[in-house]
Amino acid sequence: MEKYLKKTFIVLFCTMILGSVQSCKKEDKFLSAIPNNQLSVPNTLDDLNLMIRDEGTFNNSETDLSIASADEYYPTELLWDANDEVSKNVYLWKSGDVFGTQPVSDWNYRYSAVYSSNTILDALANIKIEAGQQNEANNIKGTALFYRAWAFYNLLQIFTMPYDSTKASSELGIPLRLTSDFNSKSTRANEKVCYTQVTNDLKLAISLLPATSSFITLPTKTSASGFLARVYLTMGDYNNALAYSDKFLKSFNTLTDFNNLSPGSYPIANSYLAEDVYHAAIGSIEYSTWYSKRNTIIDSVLYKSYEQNDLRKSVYFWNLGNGPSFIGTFDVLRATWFCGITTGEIYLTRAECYARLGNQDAAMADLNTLLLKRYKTGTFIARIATSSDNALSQILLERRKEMVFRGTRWADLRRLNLDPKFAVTLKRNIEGITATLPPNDIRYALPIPFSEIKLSGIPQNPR
Amino acid sequence: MKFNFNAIAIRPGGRLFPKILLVMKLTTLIILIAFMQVSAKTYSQITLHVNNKPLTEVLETVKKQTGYVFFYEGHLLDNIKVSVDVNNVQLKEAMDKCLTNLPLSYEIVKKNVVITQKSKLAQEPTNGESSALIKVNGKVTDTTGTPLIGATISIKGSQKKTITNEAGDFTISVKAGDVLSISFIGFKPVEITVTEKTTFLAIALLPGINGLKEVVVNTGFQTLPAERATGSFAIVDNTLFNRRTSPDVLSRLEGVVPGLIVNRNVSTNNTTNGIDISIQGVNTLFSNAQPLIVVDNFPYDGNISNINPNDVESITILKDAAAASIWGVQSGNGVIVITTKKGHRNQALKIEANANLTVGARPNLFYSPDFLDSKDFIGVEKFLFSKGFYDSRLTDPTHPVVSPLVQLLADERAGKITDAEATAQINSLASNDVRNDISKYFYQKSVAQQYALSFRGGGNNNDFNYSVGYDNNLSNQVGNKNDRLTLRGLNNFYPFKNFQIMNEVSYTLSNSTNNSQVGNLTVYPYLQLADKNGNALAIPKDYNYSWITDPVAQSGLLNWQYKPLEEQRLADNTSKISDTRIVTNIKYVLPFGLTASLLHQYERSETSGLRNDSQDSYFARNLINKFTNLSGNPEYPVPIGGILSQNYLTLNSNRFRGQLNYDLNWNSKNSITAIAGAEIDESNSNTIIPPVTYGYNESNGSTSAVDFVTYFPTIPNLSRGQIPGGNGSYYTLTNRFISYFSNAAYSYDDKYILSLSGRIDKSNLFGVATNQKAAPLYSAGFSWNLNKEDFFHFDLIPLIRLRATYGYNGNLNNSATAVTTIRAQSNAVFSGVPYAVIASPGNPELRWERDRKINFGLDFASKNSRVTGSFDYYLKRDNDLFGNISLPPSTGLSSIYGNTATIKGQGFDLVLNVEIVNNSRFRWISNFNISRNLDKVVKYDAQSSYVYDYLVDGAGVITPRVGSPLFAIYSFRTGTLTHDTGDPQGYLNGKLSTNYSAIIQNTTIDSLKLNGSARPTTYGSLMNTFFYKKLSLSFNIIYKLDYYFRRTSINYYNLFQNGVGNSDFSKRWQKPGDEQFTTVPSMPSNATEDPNRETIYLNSQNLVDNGDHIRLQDVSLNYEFDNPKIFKGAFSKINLYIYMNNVGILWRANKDHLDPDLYTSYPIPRTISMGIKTSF
Repeated sequence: MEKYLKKTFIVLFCTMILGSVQSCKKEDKFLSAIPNNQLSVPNTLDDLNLMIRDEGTFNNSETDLSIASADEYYPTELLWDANDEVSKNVYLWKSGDVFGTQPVSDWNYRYSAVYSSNTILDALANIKIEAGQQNEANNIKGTALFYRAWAFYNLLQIFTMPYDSTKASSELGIPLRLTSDFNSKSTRANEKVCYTQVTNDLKLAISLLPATSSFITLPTKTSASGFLARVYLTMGDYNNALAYSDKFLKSFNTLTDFNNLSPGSYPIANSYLAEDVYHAAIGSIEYSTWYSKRNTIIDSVLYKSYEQNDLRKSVYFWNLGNGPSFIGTFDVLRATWFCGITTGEIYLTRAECYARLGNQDAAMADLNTLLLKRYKTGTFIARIATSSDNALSQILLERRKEMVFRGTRWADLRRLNLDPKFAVTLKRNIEGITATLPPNDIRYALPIPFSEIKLSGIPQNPR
Repeated sequence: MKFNFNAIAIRPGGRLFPKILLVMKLTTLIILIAFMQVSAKTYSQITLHVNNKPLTEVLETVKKQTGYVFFYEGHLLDNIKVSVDVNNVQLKEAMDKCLTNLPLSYEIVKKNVVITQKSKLAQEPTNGESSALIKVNGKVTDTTGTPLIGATISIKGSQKKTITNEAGDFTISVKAGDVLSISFIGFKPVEITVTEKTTFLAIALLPGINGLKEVVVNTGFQTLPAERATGSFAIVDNTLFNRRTSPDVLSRLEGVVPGLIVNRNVSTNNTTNGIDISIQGVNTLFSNAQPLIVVDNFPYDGNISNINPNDVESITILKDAAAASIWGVQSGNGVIVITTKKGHRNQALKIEANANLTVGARPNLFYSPDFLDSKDFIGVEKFLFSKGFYDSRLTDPTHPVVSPLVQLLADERAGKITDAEATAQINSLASNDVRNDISKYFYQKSVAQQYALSFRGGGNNNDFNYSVGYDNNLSNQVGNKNDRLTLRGLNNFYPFKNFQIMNEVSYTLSNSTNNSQVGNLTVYPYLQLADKNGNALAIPKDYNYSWITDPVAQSGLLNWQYKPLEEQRLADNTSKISDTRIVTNIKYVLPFGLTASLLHQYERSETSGLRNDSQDSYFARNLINKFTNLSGNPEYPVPIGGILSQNYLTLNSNRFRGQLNYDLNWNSKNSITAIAGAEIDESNSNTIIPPVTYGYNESNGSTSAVDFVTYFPTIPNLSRGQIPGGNGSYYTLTNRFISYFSNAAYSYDDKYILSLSGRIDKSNLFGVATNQKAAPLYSAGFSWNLNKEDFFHFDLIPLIRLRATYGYNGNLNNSATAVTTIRAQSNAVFSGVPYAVIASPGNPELRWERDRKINFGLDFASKNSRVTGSFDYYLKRDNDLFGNISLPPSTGLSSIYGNTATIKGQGFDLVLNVEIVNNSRFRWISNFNISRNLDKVVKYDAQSSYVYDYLVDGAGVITPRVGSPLFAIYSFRTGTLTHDTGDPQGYLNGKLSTNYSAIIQNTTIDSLKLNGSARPTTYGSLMNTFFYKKLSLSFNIIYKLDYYFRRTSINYYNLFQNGVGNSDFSKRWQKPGDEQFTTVPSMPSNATEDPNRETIYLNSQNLVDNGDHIRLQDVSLNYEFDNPKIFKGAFSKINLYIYMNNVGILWRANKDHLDPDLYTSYPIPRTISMGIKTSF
């Protein structure tokens, strides 16, 4: 017995020592256990399918800099007093520095979406696609390209000067980050390269994406076409904008009839609107646009432009004592500012393109199709245009009235200012402080955040 | 006994795992066999084959073979060599052989062997003078009453002597006038003159310089005599440890360990042990900053509060690299090794019992300056009301809360009540002080009971220690209590020669109830929480009180009133922890000085928490109401019923170690002690938080399903929300380690000791790529026992030892990974589907944090040990610390977490123990220690340029800034208040200004004032102990110096918006000229607060106070009865003790009468304990 035990002990001891030393491979295997089972390395299509559904990053990561800079609202004095310095600078289109050393969510969050998209694209490139998985892989790739293009486009609207095809090759664009390697250096490409990247990515996405998706937060061929139409409109490329809005409307043309919404209710519906084709919202409201619903008041000229029978007047706005404020977001479930793509927008885009390309009747037909769903049943009298220019004026006004607080007004101001006919000088007046923003002012490009300039050394926008 | 093998054997493919499995199964088998073998045979036979070996070595061998312990005078056996050749003989025969022809005699007293010089007249003389002889009985003990076995009692000038037996008793015949000399090695000899009346002598010997109880340090891998150690250790022995009374182990270390500080001015929410400890400063920025806690041989994976302090024998604190680097990457913050009580072979059964009761005072709620009395508060509310401040709230369709006073004023204005009624009600409110009600109904005296019983003993081939403990604590917050039962059994078996099996099982069960409502109480100063009869009263919460009591508006809703006292009664929030630990240790003594051991620890801990918010609770009613759909017949998306929230945490760990010890002595001058081994560890923690259960009916257990996905409209603020708690959480954390370690010490002639240690850790935290680059954490140390040099002839200082060590400790951080990882999430923002986010970007360059430490030490003792002490000076440089590395945001990451920072530090620990008075009746010992620790950041890439980041709770949060202390207090430089308006003034471009937003914008970090460290940089304690006969009294004074804290003051924003005041309000600027007497700004006259103005004032230099203070931490009084003549002498010892803790502050530098250690709103209440400790 004694001998047996001693022998056993020695065998055990040697096993223990030698067993653990003998092979590095076994050691590695033991140590390759994942420390947290909620974590994994993205190396399957299933992983990537989960990643493209990160709605917080892709669909809800914009901030309200575009709304805050535009001319749709003014803050009450109460809100103004409570505002921080940066919000005040933004509202007053301050020259020179705006953000100080503060991080700028509009920049950071969108690049975070770019990084996530690139991580998906890089991981996808390393996954061996089995037979039968090609559609799934295409869907993932198209989706990631769409998300990246979405982020690049929105960055271009805030941090670069408006796109003018005659000057685009010499205007500074944004850093086009196309891989997830955070060690690669950021440089600013010119605007032409940037917009070409966006349009090419979207064209590729349209070819890869499915016709329909199970969630309105995932892009489809249709919504990508709608978005590409938005991009081309911004670039003043009306032929392409027409082509892609037409492509959109040929596959989907449902509009929500505002007669089915109950006026004065907030939010305006209990489920997503039928015409909400690609759902995205401004997840982080940082400036003056919604400190409290009662303290951001809608521009009175804009408010007065709604006719009495226009249902948008009662569906979009309410008055809690300080003046009309906006409640008509299409992000009905969470009631933050909607910034996605709707059938209504695409009708307006196609109408504008028709008008600009001289097809006055087609333009007015599209406009009337939309407005019919916006007016009280039986009260709408079809609009008539006296000329293409007249059609265009009507369409642009309706565009402004339809797409309130979606962030698109800022992009529209930028492109319309290039045409003296539509150029406007914006004015602010609060507590005795006044500010103006003339057309095409260099302040239409906001400053790039301090930390970006400091750490990557890219050139700052002149202010 | 049940082992869980699943935890470690989860990879069936690998061959390593079945082996481990096999090993563990066999271990179990061996233990079972050992149990059967225990009483079958005895193995005290001795076999010796030695030739010309030092006698001391031979006796050591005998000790190992028999368990008998040898006692002899210091140098008695020096240079004696013997040759013995015996086989399987009894002890007596072996001893006779050993001492043949030597001038030595021995006596076997129970299980001890006492060796003395052979006296020529060992027998009592029988020469006729016997008539004058007196027979004197006596007992010799140490100061704690432990009998000293084998103490020598001799008559001066005579050869006659005797020694004490196993009970410390002796009998000797003497003549009156003889001087008895009582001596025992390691103790100071005593001389007593015998008179005719002397019949019994009780002699307590005082410890001498070379205490018999050799001071040993336990590193968790080996135990070493302190004089053989080169590193920096601190030891808390059993007496010191038990000086304090507490239910937990760690708090007893406060104020008695040099270099160790308990940080009381920080939140302990993120420390796993509920107490924030730093040993010689902090060596990391954002990684774990708490020391590693080791129980006996292995890190303790459960909550350390599971350990019963009555099971603790002593504690060793490992401070420098030579001491701690054997623990590798876990050692960066120091290591606390808890050694538990064990039995000894051949020890008679010893039973110990301890019971104590601790009563704590009700907290002093009137201490906090963050309170504005009712009269002033009403004044402020009236002022704001008159300015229309509340008008928008009163008409707000979302019905925000307004105070009762504002409601009164509004009702008065609306004509709902008359002016006279309003005035009367306001006057009655003005006389209330809500703190009285809170103190009366929500606080109480704390009561803690502690009971412990242990059995210890040993036979020829085994020893054991069994203990049971029960603690019952009633918190000072009404509704909170917890109890803990601990059971522990430890057995050592010596079934064969050279073979030892240790098995220990411990179990803890602890139940807590956390029903206190104190955390939910935000109240106006004039509120009443109960009426005269103690019935609960409603107070405003969340919504306008008149709206929730309006029957029309509330139709279809449940009662929405909030009565805190009622909530306290309804609350049902409990948690339960059970913890089982099984340790097996097999040791086999091999030839050539080798000992092999296998150790295994299995630990399983289960925690469950249950919170039941019954249908009547405000929590349930509020949620039900909030989601009620009132369009049409009321619908209840949150069903009417209770709400049940649960959480479960299971922790399993297996730690397995193989270790080889090597001891070799040669030429009686050289000695090598070395260990080497490997360890494989795995710990798994499983967290399960099920979705919240709604509609819970306690009586039948029924529940209702709810829709967690839909965004329902909510009352009253018209926004939409999902029903909370739909996302359950289920996750498993797995930590795996493989480590190799070695440690060797060479000693020459006990003069020079050289030590080396090294350890390599590999883990699954960072990924395999990083492990392949694993670099060892190592140390080297040297110590020089100067007093043993021949040239050293300095009798006044008989002990001087110099030490120097150099090496690296490490630290862990598991929040970064070498590859890009994603984390699965449920419930995407819009569609509610599962999704994944990027959890951490891959960073292939990760490595351990490496803390370099250089330590120089000096130990000394004066003649007769009147003064002993040590001095340690250290330099540290912590490299590769984790921190944020800034990236341009266009990368999509503003920073990545990586090895980026370096901090540097230095400091010292000085210990002085002085025996101020020492005579046989009265003894006064003073223990003084002082530590200084300074550290600063020397490299940090992602330094914030945002001033707010530096204006934080500097003691708890690190905002790294190169050149500054880790924990720092910054403030705005400010001038006096303005003459006309009493506004604070800051500096803008070097000039005083009231443009607050511009000041904040333009103040750079460098222009902020750096007041200094937010944590004490000099600290220590002074403990004085007095012994008078059997009475001992000690008190401990703790001091913390050279640091700063930011005090609170009136925040008008908080006052106006949230109703939180501060007593500084009464010192505010009120009229021009006041600025000469006060720095407290005026109340904004237009009733609009400017948050920037508050920011400047609340962070101004005027509000930073010096934190220096001296505190009388505790007083302890102890009385000891030896062999009390009660219960027929059943007790061998009874100790009665009284202990008072948190006595009070003796001196503080700040003039505001604040306790700088304070984190919560009141100082830690004073407690008094009474207890009794007995042994049989």
